[in-house]
Amino acid sequence: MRDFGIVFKYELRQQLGKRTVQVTTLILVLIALAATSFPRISAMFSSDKDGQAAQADTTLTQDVGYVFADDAQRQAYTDLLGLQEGNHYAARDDLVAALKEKALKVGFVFTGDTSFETIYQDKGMEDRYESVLSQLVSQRHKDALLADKGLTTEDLAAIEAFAPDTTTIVMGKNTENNILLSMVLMVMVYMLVLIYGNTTSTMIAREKDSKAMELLITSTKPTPLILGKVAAAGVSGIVQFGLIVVAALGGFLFSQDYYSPMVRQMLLGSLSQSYILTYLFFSITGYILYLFLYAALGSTVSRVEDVGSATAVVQFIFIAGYVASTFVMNVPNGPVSVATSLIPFTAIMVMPMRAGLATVPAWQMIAAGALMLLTVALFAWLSIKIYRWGSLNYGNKTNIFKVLKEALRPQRRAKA
Amino acid sequence: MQLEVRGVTKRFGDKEVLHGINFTVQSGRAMGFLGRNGAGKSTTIRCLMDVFHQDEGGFYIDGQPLDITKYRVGYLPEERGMYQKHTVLEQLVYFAQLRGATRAQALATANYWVDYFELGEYKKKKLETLSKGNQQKIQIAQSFLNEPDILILDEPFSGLDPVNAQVFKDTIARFVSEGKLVIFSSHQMNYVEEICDDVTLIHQGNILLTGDLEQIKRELGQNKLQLRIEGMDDEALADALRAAFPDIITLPHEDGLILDTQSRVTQQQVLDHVNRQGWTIHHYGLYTPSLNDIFIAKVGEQA
Repeated sequence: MRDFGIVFKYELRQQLGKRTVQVTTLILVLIALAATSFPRISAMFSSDKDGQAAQADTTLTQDVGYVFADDAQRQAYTDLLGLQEGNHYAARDDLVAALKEKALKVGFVFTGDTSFETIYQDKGMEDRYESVLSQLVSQRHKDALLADKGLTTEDLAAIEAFAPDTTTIVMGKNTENNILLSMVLMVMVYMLVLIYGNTTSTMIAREKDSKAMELLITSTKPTPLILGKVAAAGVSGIVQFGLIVVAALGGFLFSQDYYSPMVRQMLLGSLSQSYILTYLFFSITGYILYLFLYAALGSTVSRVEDVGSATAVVQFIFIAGYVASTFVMNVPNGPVSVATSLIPFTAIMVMPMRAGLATVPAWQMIAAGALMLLTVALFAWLSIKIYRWGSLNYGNKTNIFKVLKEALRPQRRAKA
Repeated sequence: MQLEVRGVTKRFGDKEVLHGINFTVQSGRAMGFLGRNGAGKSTTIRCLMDVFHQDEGGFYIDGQPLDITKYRVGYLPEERGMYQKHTVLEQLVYFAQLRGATRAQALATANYWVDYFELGEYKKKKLETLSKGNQQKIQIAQSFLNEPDILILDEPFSGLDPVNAQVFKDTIARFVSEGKLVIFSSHQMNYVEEICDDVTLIHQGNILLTGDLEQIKRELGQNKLQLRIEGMDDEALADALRAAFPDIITLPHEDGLILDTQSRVTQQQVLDHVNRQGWTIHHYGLYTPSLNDIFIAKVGEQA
């Protein structure tokens, strides 16, 4: 226990003391804060923009010419749009001449109450004058039709807005509400395991690469070494991600009034105590399980550059769990979902996802938890054996079965 | 304190690399562990350090099975290596703590040995920024942490310049004088000869000789003379002497021909023959083999 503490403190200090880790964490914290505060920040800017746009909406008056079909129509649009004398042209030819002289950007020639011709000299990508005028003409036409029936636009809006008075009661979990949060948390676990799993295996491979391992295993036993290293890598990952989560939560709380009610419901809807406990239990134990796997595989290679190929098999298993958890989104209580939530290597992501989207039977939750704890204990023991075996196995190419056979072979001790 | 290596056998797969070796090491007497590359020195040391587990035999301290974790052991492995990207002092403190020191004791011993090797200015530098020679000194310093009772050094002189080698020799002499148990392996016979009271020679996993160095020299020099004649090459001299004394055995040597008299020819008979022949003596004396001679002779016998 004493040596575990020494190894843990030393490795944690090394890990968190790295300038790259500190800078990366700071950048990610700022990004998380900015991303979750975005709705509020965006609202601040967009309200100003809308005001400016309202004040300066001259789309249908500035550099626009009109030829109307008759005087009544001319008067109606002059009142509606606030047209000036300069907007009016007596005939189509006059309008075309003005367009050719670049005095106008666009010209409209009305041929009836609801028909008009649009003439450009040059049309830009963003020029949509005719669609704006079309909406106006349509609205005028709709108003006229409603008026014939003795109705107003407000009357029509009230008719269309009608909805029956219903109440929905969800006895278990509401997938709609919980899916967003479950996905966000799943991606976080995914990143945590991949980043810190690789950090752990690289840390151990580097000790072999630099030949420091022989000094370590002659200074203390392999058990405190591997447990201390895995604990330090695990805690540094949780500290780093914890800071990012706190920043994201802070940003969300700061801006929650600016989130749409639906998004707010999707994010907050799942935050029940039981869900948080389920998520924390399976994520943390599963994370530790993978760190032991990465540590064991890191000690089977002699060079840091071989870590990637040695750990590929674990990454494959882990990614399979990730794929399984996306499958769970559609059928949270299907046979595949149940099976993968019981297998510890996939339960890390599948069980929290299931718990977020559906009601998981208690026996399945207990069985998955027990299996997870047993597997963590088994792989902790195995990783100590593999680490001890791998500590002096330099250069020899090997495979996982050979490693296990050699690592588990009983060793003879000197007898009195 | 007496360390006894008793019948240690080690196999890697089907290949047996140590064939039931036996020797003893006394505290207060430095023991040089000699052998060619691949002779089994590092394997023996790694079995002793419990890095490898021997297949047969064992290690005993004062007659009791050795539990290496019960002693303060300073170890310098053949494969040098520490944390390149960590600072010098923090990793020395770490190793000292892992070997049982408190934080305060670890700081004290780490500071002491860094200062002893005149590397104080590098305490807060990363190991990789030091020169190779200075990195080697830090490696040696780590083996001296916590005032070890047993010091096991695998090829400690490799990479040391003459000045640092002298500092290191003085330090080993200090540990020996304090009654510590010191074993070190080396190829460099001159260093072993200077420092060691006892030697053990291993070849192809077998112990060829072991014991007090001076006694070994005396035994191997018994009945041997060394002679060189002015103006005569050693080969012609050997032919002439063998013709005069058929029982004599001659051995070439860079300092003069060695004559093994087999106790059948006296020194006086040899000198009388030289006088009768009218030869002028360039060098004459009793032959005492150097450690290098012993090594070459013993290993050569096995070749």
